[in-house]
Amino acid sequence: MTDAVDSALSPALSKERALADWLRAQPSVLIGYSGGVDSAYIAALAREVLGRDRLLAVVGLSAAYPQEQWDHARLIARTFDIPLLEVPTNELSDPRYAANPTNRCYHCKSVLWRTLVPIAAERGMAVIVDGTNADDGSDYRPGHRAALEHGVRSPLAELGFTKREIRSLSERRGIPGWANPSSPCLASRLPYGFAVTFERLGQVERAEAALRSLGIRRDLRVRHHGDLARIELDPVELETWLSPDRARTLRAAVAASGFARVALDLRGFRSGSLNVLSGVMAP
Amino acid sequence: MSEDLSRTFANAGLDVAVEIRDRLVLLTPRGDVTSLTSLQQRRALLALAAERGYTHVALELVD
Repeated sequence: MTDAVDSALSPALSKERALADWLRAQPSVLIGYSGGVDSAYIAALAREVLGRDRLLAVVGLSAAYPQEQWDHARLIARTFDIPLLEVPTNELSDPRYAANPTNRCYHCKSVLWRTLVPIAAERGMAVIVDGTNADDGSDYRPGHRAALEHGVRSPLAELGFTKREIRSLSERRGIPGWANPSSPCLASRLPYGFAVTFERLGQVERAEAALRSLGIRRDLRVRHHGDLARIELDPVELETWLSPDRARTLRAAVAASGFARVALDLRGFRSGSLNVLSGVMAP
Repeated sequence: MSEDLSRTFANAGLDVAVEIRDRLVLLTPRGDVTSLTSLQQRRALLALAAERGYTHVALELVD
């Protein structure tokens, strides 16, 4: 059984060996770590290859991520004995970020890497890496430019790892959350030009948590349009929640987070939905 | 434009008020909208909106 599984995973396992070789060739590595599927995978592999002394995973504690994300990041670090450092990033104090321009991610990641580069220098870490993978080039991602400007390497992308491969390899390693839906930052729920504030991020975080508590496990987003919350559910779930009784339950759950009006998107979840709405990406 | 869309949707069997927010069409039910549980009906509605340049259609959830 294991042989059959490994055979199906063969291309991914080849990439994993290449990644292990790449990591082994580095004197030491600092990982920009979020506990998401990609950075968790590379951190777990790096711990195995490099040991504790040549590795540091650093979490930039951003207000734009839900608390449960950080709890999950800590859990993985404990499970795999990954040395972890947590630092605040305070990107909301940067007006260029808070104004929520179309290149918001660039300003966010600039703050992150400006924080992490000196830490790497102080601790003598030779290389900084992130968890960008080969599929990430298909969306609008100005944040990657900030990584390049700060000399950050993206070995998963450089070696051609797809998201599906990373999930499979993570499952094989027993990394918790390997099947979790992607979870971009909460600011991605706010249309460009609509200022990012602690209050709005909190509304989105509470509303999405309320929807999860209803048993929705697949992808979901609550898009913040001021007075209006627009819910995007996985198309598979959409039909169920359009029935009158269920729709009332959805409305109550989300309205409790401070939205006067609640709506359900009729196409359902789309990665980069607000990029399409603002014209940054084609429909 | 919203009245035009409202008439178009009414012709498709959907009694809704239409509010335009940039490229988002927000539908507020005035009558029965249970037909939207049909994937075919939703696809037809999305196509009508897309023909007019709208990228998103959402149904307001009301008590």
